[in-house]
Amino acid sequence: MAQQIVDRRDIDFVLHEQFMAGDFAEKHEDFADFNKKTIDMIVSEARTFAIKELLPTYKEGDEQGCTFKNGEVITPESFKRVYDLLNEAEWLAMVEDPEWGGQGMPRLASSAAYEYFNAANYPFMMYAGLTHGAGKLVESFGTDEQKELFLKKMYSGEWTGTMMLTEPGAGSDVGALTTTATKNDDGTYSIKGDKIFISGGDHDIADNIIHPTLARIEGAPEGTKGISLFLVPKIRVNDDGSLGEPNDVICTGIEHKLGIHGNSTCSIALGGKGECVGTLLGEENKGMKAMFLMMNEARLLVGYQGFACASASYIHAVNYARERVQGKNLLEMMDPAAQPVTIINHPDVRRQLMEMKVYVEGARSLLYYVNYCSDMAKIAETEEEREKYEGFIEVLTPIAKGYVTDRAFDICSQGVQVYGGYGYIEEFPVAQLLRDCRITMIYEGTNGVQAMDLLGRKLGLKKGKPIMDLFGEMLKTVANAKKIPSLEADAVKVEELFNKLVEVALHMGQAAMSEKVLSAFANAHPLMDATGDVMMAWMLLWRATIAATKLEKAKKKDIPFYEGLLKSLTYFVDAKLPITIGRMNGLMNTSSAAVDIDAASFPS
Amino acid sequence: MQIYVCVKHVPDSAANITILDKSRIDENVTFLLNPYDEHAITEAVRIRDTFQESEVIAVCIGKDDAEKTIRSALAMGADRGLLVSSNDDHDSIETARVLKAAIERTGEPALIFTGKESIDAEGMQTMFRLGALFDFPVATNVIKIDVDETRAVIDSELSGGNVNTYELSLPCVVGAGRGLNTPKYPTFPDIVKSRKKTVKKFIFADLNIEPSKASMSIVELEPLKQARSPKEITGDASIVAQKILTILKEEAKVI
Ligand SMILES: Cc1cc2nc3c(=O)[nH]c(=O)nc-3n(C[C@H](O)[C@H](O)[C@H](O)COP(=O)(O)OP(=O)(O)OC[C@H]3O[C@@H](n4cnc5c(N)ncnc54)[C@H](O)[C@@H]3O)c2cc1C
Repeated sequence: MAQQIVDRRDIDFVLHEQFMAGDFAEKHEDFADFNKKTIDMIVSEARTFAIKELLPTYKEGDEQGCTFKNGEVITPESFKRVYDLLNEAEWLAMVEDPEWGGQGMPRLASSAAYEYFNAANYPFMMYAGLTHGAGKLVESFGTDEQKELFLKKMYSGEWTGTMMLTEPGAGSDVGALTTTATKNDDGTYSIKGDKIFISGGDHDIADNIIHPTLARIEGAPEGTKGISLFLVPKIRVNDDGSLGEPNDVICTGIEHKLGIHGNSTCSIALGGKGECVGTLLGEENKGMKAMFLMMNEARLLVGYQGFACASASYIHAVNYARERVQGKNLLEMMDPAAQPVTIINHPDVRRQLMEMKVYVEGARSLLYYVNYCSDMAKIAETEEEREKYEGFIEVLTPIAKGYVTDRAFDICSQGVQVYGGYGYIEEFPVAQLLRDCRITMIYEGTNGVQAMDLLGRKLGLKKGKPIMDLFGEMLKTVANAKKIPSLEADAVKVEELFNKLVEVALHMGQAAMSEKVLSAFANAHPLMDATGDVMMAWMLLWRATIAATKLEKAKKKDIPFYEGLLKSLTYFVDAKLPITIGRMNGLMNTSSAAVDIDAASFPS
Repeated sequence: MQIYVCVKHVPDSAANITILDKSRIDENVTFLLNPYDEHAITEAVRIRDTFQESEVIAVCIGKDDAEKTIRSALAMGADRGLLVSSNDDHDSIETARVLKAAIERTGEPALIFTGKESIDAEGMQTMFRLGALFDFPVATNVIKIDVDETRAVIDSELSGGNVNTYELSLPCVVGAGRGLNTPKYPTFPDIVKSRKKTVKKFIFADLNIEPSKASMSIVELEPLKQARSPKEITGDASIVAQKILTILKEEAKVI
């Protein structure tokens, strides 16, 4: 059994040295219970649970996968027991309102627990994560009656939840969906249609499944404007909360996938017999708006999923590199008597570990920062301040989902590489982490869609105020770093990078509103790459500034850690930042080749 | 009724232990509540809930960091904690004296739980020494316990799986075994609540422990090296099968 699946020292650093998670206890009465020591205990208990219960079911979940027999979905054997344990310990709704069974924990502090859980077994955690997300929809848009009937049972995990959007003809373009809703005399709606790719759409770990479902009310406008959101239970729920008749929600099959085998991906037929009944969640034709409100959170969660795979792959790779003996030290290559060394001593392996290190650290800080912004928005004393932090969340969400999962997959691939041939063998966890990680770049809006969101909506949001405010925060970090002589030179380079991004963003924003719009969008993903790189540079500089300040008085055991943070910055500035500048030069070219090329020029 | 549970702050069983100076371990690993003590806490909490006006008190000797282990015990349902803060290692003779002193200064025990052993030192002596010091009866590797006002009826598992049933007068000392119960993970609200419970600190020197004439100390620590030596098994298939069977039965003792 592994002792470590993620880097606890770094988690503690981000929580308590970068974002001062414990201080929220004094900042707002809702958070009063969560001082530093309590947070530490929660993180420790989350770690224990993750390592003792979730991790041992990770490989088993992959190997057994889900099966579909006689119309029923069977999940891996161990999942039911672990799911019950997770719920008995009340982990499912850590950050939600205690009135509905949540724990009211600040989001920043919850980040660490999510990282542990997802790093241990994210396909399993999807059942809980989607339940939480679906519950949140009920909490935000439900009537009192809907909340009474569903919410506590969802936040306690007694029933699970899903997100039912996708149809065969409606993937990235949700507006194309054809599932219909017909109003009944009693105010309920009859739902009819076919959904596909529904995660956790059917399973055997809980008694009921509540599906927030997108459908079009008969006669509603075409496209996204005519979409409404409904609550559709698998089993109907009586007024007293007890289970009634099945609701004509039928799983017709499950997918065989590259990864996340433990999580069922279901095709669902709604109302095949004309007996599927749902209730409206929120207002008619406002379904997409409701979904959008939840989108940032759901996308951030996907960022965490991908990141957690990377975070675990990194720890495995480091441990493996410390143990695997192979080859001589480069400097002793010619000495026939030289002993073989552990591979961590080879410069190329060190470089790979360094690559993994900088992106894992940068991404951790970035993801936790988005949660920090949520907490800051919640406790903001003025409307202006609240808007500021909400603006940050808007701008950073496509990066936290798109850029982070792109890098996470790269990191998982590096993890396989560090293991050499053994990495490709399923006996070691890095192979599964790589496979599982891949879907995070696709669902909850493909990373292409994220990039378009960044270019098309987020850069110009509120006339560019959020992004300019964010630059303001970034320049504060630069100013702090410049005060430290050993960091000054790097800080100047990072500042130049920030300034160049402003220039590139303006250029791209203008191109997107000109006749070059297609070329601009052909460059949206590279723009997301460059922007993400800049966020990494920001976070690494911020972290190094703290490390440099703390080094002087650091305890002996912390010295290598802080020195490592300084090296992360050096590596990024020396080796990565020039590539980012190159990317930005490419963006200034805004190549139109990809849109100019005739589709016929691709091979037939 | 006061139920004391002696808990120990030990390295995580999954940790990679590094030995330093041939005499101590590198403590830069995760430390947790000793797994046997989890059974002890779970049982103590169960018994407490059946008696009015009773409480569970977790006692630990260790560095200040050991407060985390007490907090884990509190999250699992103990009501308050006692930490005897000491930076030194203590042998089981001294440990039992310290525990007794801390308990006596706090109240009158009706039951004292320990784990059947700690997973780091595996001394298995603390409960007996504690019993001797207090003049209480002791049973260890306990897998079942029923308590009333005056006595405890317990099942104790012996090697080979035999079970003896004993009746112990109260107060008594009980070493919890794995079979006693299935410890539950603390719930999120209990973790949060545990912060508000009190942990009283004693300084080791203030307890005026009478030094023992006898003592035990670690001379040398060595990592366990599992010698692996390959053996070639030859012969035709039926002979090979027979040999493997013999090895599995007699050497590996797995069948
Ligand atoms: C394992 C798994 C689990 C899933 N879970 C759920 C779930 O729980 N609930 C749910 O509702 N859905 C779920 N999905 C569906 C998922 O969200 C969609 O697959 C995803 O949104 C992409 O849709 P699509 O597959 O139809 O691809 P398409 O939309 O056909 O996309 C194909 C490619 O075209 C690009 N593309 C499409 N449109 C545009 C455009 N306008 N501009 C530029 N590029 C474009 C995409 O980026 C992509 O690269 C899941 C999918 C999988 C595989």
